This record gives sequence, C-alpha cells and structure tokens, in this order.
Amino acid sequence: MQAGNEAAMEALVHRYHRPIYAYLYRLTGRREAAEDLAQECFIRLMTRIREYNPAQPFRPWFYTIAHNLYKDHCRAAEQRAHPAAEPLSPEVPAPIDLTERIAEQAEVAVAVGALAEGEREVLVLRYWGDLKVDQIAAATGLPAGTVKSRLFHAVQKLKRALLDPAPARRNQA
Amino acid sequence: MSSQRTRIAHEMATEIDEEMTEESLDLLLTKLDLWQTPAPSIESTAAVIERLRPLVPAPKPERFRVTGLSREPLFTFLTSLLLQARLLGRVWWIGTALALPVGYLLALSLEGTGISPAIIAPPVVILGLLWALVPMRGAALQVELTSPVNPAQVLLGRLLVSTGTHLVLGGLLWLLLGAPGALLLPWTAALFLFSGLTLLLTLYAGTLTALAVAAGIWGTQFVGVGREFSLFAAPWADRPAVQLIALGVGLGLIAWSIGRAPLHRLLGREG
Repeated sequence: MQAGNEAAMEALVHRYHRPIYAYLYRLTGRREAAEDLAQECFIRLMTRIREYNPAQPFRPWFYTIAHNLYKDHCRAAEQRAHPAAEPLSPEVPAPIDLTERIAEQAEVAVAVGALAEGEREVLVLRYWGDLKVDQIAAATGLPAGTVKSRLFHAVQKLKRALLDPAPARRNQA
Repeated sequence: MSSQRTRIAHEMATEIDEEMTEESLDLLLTKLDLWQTPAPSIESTAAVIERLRPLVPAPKPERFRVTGLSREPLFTFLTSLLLQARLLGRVWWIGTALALPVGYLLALSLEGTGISPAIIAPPVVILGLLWALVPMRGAALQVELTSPVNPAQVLLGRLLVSTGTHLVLGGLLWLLLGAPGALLLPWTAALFLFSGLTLLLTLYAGTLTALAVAAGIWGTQFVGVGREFSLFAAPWADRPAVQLIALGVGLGLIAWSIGRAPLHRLLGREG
C-alpha cells in the first residue's frame, strides 16, 4: 500500500469499510453522516499512509484517524449550532412497528446513545472496535486511567439500563 | 462472535476493576450484540474506491529485480520480519517444535536407502508456512498490504523466519542429543538452497509463481527418487563436501539475488 498499489487499496477498503462505517454510525447515529465520514476517513488514510509505521498494528492507527475525523465533525457541527454530539437519537423504527427483537435492539441503541459522548466513544472502541485500553488511549489522546474510568462508568450505566431496568425506571419515576 | 465476546468480557473484567463478574459482563455484551448497524451499500464501497483511485501513491510495486532490498532501509525489512514472526501464533511454534522430531524420524527412516534426508526439509518448511499463514489470511494480508517492503521481501522474510526456527531447533537437538548432528548439515543446506532458488526465481517471475516453480523443481527430484533421475538419490549426495557446496550455493543465490537489483540500477541496465 505504501508502495502504491490500487489492488491493495481496494482490498483495504473491502476489509475496513464496514467496521469503520459501523464505528462512525454508532457514534453519530446517522447513516448519511457515517457514510460521509467513512469516505473522508479513507481519504485521510490515503493521504497519510506514509506516516504509518508498519511495526505498529494497523487497526488502532486507522481508528485514530476515524476518531480524529469524528471529533472534527463534532466541532464543525457545534460551530454550525447543530450539536451532532448531543445525546444520540439513533434511527429506530416507530414503536408501533417494533417486533420484540427490534425493540431490544432499539433499547440497546438508546442506552448506548444516552451515555456521555466520551464514554460512548471508549465503549465503542473497546467492544465493537476490539481495541485494548492502551490502544484506545493512543487513539483518543486520553490517559489510560481516564479510558478505564470512562469504560467503568459506561458499563455501570449500561448495566443499570439493560440488565436491571426495573430500578432504573423506578429512579426515573 | 461469541468467543470474541467472551475474550473481551474476560479482558474488560480486569480492566475496569469492578465487582461485576465476567459472566455478567458477558451477559451485558450479549445484549450489546443486539444492536446491529446497517452495512454500507455496495455502491458506497465502490464510490469510496473510485474516490481513492487517484490518490493511490504513484509507483506500482515493481519486481524485486528492479527494487531490491535497497529500496527501503534494511531496518524496515527487519521490522517486517519481526512483524511476521509475531503473526505466527503459539500453535505454529509448538507445531514446528513437534514437527522437527517427526522430520528427524522420517529422515532416519531414509537411512540406508541411499536417499539424502535433505529432500524432505523444504516440504516440511513449506507445509509449515502454509499451515501457519493460510488460516490467518487476514492478518497475513494486512502485513502485505501495509508493509512498505515488496512481496518478494515478505516471502523472503517468511522463509527466513521458518528456516531460522528449524535451524535453532535442529541446533538444540544437536546439542542435547548429539546424534541428529549428522542431519543438521544436509537439512540446513537444503533449506538455504531452496530459499535461494525461490528468491532467484522472484527476480524473473511473480512471487507465487516463483514459489510454485521452486516447489515444482524440488517435487520432480522427490518423485524422481525411485526412478534414478533425482540428485538426492545419487551416491555422492550424502557426502559432507557435497552438502557444504549445496549450502554455499544456497547462500550464494540469496546474496546474489539480493545484490543484483541495485547493481542493475547502478549499471543502468534493464534486467
């Protein structure tokens, strides 16, 4: 790839387009935004490919690019007074059409969307991105301790929302 | 997915240092799995590829003949070598350690047949490499896609990692048991001869073609053992002097192949 090879570029896109799109979709909650950002992500990757050190694993490096791009996107949205980083309201079907499975899926999407932005990012990178704490720290520029604490809070909140929903509802009431 | 989930649950349980058990974390992650994201459309993937096409760095990969090892610093090549060693899972290292005594026994069974045991060394290495690299095609491909070294260097790196492991293990057996020392020279000579032959062929053909041709040439020798046209069945094949010459030829081929490309460039000749 660094040597310049279209076939390698295509293989790379086929391999990473879906996970990067999913990562960005989980953060933005919107298909169009995820699609545009994923495309931008590959363009940024291509322009910076020579900065990549092959001694390091590729995936965390690529997620660093995606993370930075998402941050830029949030800042731009804030400047336009369209806070994209507000608590997520994922695209879910209207409740009346929901089957049980879709309802469960929406419940998870809403619970993850309700996390603080930093917690959501760390969780998405840790679980769906399968990055280790130190890799997340490198990708986000946060200290490893902060990553762990955000992960801890994210898990706590999700546990309350998804595994013990009754007390959570009582608290809300 | 479930084994990956279990692994992540296990890792997270220690990372977040919470009273939550691994099982309940696994349960929570199972819940998270319910959130399926839409997949990007084929059209959008195609659009990404089309947008990237003009951005691909200009030169296409050149043959090893043109580029040689001098294209990137030696350090990069060594890094790629280490990366490949890291890619090989624990199973490969254990498997290789177990395969060597089997190879040794096979070689012993050839004793008195007039066939040099060297003949089975490259097949053992090739099978070992296939066994290691085919199931983890994704990770191996990642090295090829992102590494600045060219495919011939990747192949050379793999052969070196595998050959090196066999030599170290063979040396250990030699030191520990003494007896297999008689096998060390033919085995080493065969590995270097095969690696040199493969690398030489990558000067003139694609990497896979080179490997296939080298394996084919070796295969004809293998098949020819019983039909009196194999060099390995020759009466002089087991003589140490012959094996030393074979080792020297192998090392010479490797050195010559590595040195040839820059020389070509210096002389301004097309290969």
